[in-house]
Amino acid sequence: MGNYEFDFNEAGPYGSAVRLLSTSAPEGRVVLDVGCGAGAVAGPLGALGATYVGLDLDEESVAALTERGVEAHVLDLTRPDLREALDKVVNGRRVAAVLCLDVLEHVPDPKSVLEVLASLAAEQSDVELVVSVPNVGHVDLARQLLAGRWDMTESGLLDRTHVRFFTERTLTELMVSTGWYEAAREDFVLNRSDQSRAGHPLFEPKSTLGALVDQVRSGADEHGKVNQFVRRYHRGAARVAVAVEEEQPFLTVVMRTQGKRPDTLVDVLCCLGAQTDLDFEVVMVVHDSSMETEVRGVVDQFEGNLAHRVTVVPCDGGTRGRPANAGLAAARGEYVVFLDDDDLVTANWVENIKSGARTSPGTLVRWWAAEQHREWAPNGLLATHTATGPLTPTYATRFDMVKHIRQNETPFHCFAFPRVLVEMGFRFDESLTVCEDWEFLVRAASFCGVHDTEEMTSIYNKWSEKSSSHAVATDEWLVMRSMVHVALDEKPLLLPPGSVRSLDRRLEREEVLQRRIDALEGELAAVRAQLAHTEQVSTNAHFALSELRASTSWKVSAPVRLAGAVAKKAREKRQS
Amino acid sequence: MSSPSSVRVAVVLYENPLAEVWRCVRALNRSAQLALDAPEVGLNKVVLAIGDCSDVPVIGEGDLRELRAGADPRVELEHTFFQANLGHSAGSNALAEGALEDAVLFLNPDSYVAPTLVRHLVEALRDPEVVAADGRQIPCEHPKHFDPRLGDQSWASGACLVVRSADFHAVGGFDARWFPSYVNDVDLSWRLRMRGKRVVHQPRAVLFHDKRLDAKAGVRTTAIEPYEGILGRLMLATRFDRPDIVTETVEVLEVHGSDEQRRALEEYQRRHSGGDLPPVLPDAASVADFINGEYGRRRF
Repeated sequence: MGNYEFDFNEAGPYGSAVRLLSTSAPEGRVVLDVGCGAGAVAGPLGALGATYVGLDLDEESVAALTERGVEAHVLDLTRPDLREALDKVVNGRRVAAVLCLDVLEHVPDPKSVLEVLASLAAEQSDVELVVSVPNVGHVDLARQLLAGRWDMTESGLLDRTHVRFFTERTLTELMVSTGWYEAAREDFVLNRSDQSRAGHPLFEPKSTLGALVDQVRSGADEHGKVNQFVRRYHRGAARVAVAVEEEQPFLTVVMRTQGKRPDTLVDVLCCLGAQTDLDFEVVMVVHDSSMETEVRGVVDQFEGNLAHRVTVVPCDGGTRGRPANAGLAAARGEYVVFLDDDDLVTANWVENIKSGARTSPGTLVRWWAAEQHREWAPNGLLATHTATGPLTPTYATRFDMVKHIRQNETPFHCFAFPRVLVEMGFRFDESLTVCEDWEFLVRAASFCGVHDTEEMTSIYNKWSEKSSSHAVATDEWLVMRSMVHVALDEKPLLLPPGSVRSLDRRLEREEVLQRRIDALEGELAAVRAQLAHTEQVSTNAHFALSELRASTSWKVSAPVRLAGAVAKKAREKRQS
Repeated sequence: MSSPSSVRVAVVLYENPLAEVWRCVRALNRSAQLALDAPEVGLNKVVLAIGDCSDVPVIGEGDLRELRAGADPRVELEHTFFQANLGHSAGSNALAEGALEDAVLFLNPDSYVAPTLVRHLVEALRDPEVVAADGRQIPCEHPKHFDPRLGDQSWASGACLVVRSADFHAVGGFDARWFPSYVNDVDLSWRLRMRGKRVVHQPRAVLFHDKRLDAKAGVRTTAIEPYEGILGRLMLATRFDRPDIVTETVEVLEVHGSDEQRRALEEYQRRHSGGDLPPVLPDAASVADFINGEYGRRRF
């Protein structure tokens, strides 16, 4: 007997496979269970009215099934005449489905097996294929590799007889290339696979490290906890993904515009047309699709060398995060940078970003901005908008992660990030009406680290409040700030090297200040106590005095005091 | 109709990278094309005259062919290799000499003009009293004051300056003798204004002028600018009959001047001793706006 005598379990992958078939009306037709082993699904499929036929290389398994009265045949999937062998088994009967449960990972050439099954299905109608394969992308295997382990086992994710390994992407590519298209799925999820190591911080979701690994893996796709992909496929035309050698620009400049301010849009496009490094594309997201034509019109006024770099993407609804995400989705560059339609950059803006990215690959590249006050002019004047103040070095500080947790000190057009972050699940939080760039920056900086080029290549236009379309009420900003902190607190945050001393200095400063406050409060309490004592003495004296004045002896001695006072004055007069 | 129907664009090169020339020509060609396409602008001819003051031609023959091939057929491209560093004034004058076009647009090669720049500058000359106009520079906007409704200003920047040809020639063009490369635009503007003509700013005519910023958000200057700036100021104050400004500048620089500025001061004093200074223009002080170290009011 082989090693795979698994019992049928409704909650397991076999249960999923049977449920996937239950809607495909197998009654009266044959279901071929390729690699059937002990025929765990024979009973449930028989209950659906199907004629179960088990096929396996292992003669003992086949014999055992036959002994149980279940039709079974010995079949070697690697034999060159596989199709003929299958035809012999089918023997003219109508086939409802083929099962490949825990099979494809065991054969050296699963593609040819699937092609044979597709050719078989082509001669029948409505033949379904149900596949179950282990997911080598399960997060537990990532955890094991981080621990330096790749432990093959008797069964499970790293069964020692597996010769092929699949992720969701490679499985789908294989199926499509052999003419099988997914119709339904019921993937089998295991939060703790057989590779899990209880108590190890890499594996425990409540440990910071475990949570971090979960964060990274779940950002990549939603299959990190899938143990087995269990999917049903229809037959169709085989398609092989052709790798198109698409030229990838270094940089994607994502511009968000509502199309309402063509004057500033022209200014920004001039800045881009003048770049010394033209290795970039522009994704212009029009956050109001009714303005798409107008915006395209503005772009097409420019010379071809700029205009052809610009892709206009319409986008409706949502907060400012929505067009930002639309821009991310359309980006093709190695790095991505945002540039709003009312800011300005110098001609070496792209050149500086590229230099930073080449100096420090994979990091977030950051630079400085000058700030300039600007206002929209009333109608009837020559200028539509004008600068009202000089350029000031407001944003000329090195990146400080701790400070950025407190508040954002980096304008949106002052950092670029590797686009691969999108593959890692990075998106802008669309629930934020403002500050969406802040939350993104902190998370991206946490993962990538920051390379400051210390070049001032951006100008942040600070529009006067009366003319700004982005004026944000303070209370709204405070709410968003709070939301950003909540979002950042949901996941572990990595601090860059050097943070310990930086934090220590801040904490030390806080301690020193606290001691100073304590000392001052002590002094203040002493002064207050002294004051209270003095007030008490004064009150007592006043009380005693008033008592004295009210006494009979005081009243009767009044003439004596008068005579004394007169005598005192006379003495003073003589002395003077 | 006073708007020019033909414009000669004069671009003086000195050791500029070829990519910069392409950048300039691409944008200018497009802007000229759109202006020529719009019948209401009334423009029917644009000549792009490039004059090269470099030691070795920036534009080779092959490059010139490609530049011409990329240009609109209505934009005629002329190229002159001067074989000498004439300076901006003499180079510009040479390119404008004998110009048959109604107006000359002097343009720095380190620029990228907006698609609507040519149109807006041509339209700025619609009023016959307006003889010169400049555009709005980005990303570093010039702080000089201009009338918000009419555009009138003290002087127009030579980085992108359109002047009626007749008026340009009437005042003798740029003064290459006394202002070979710096403040020659202020000098020209003031001489035009002395004839009672208007010099305006057209903020809708946008050009990107390739200025870089230092860490303190200051516009980076070339090594020679502090020297040339002071020498030019002293020469301007002399020519435009403002001895008070000369005295003030000398006194301030003697105490606070940098090495370069003091070197300029010494050069001025040397010229002064040798009688090698521009003659004072009669009635010049009326247009000479020396305000707080600038040549006119500032907005900020």
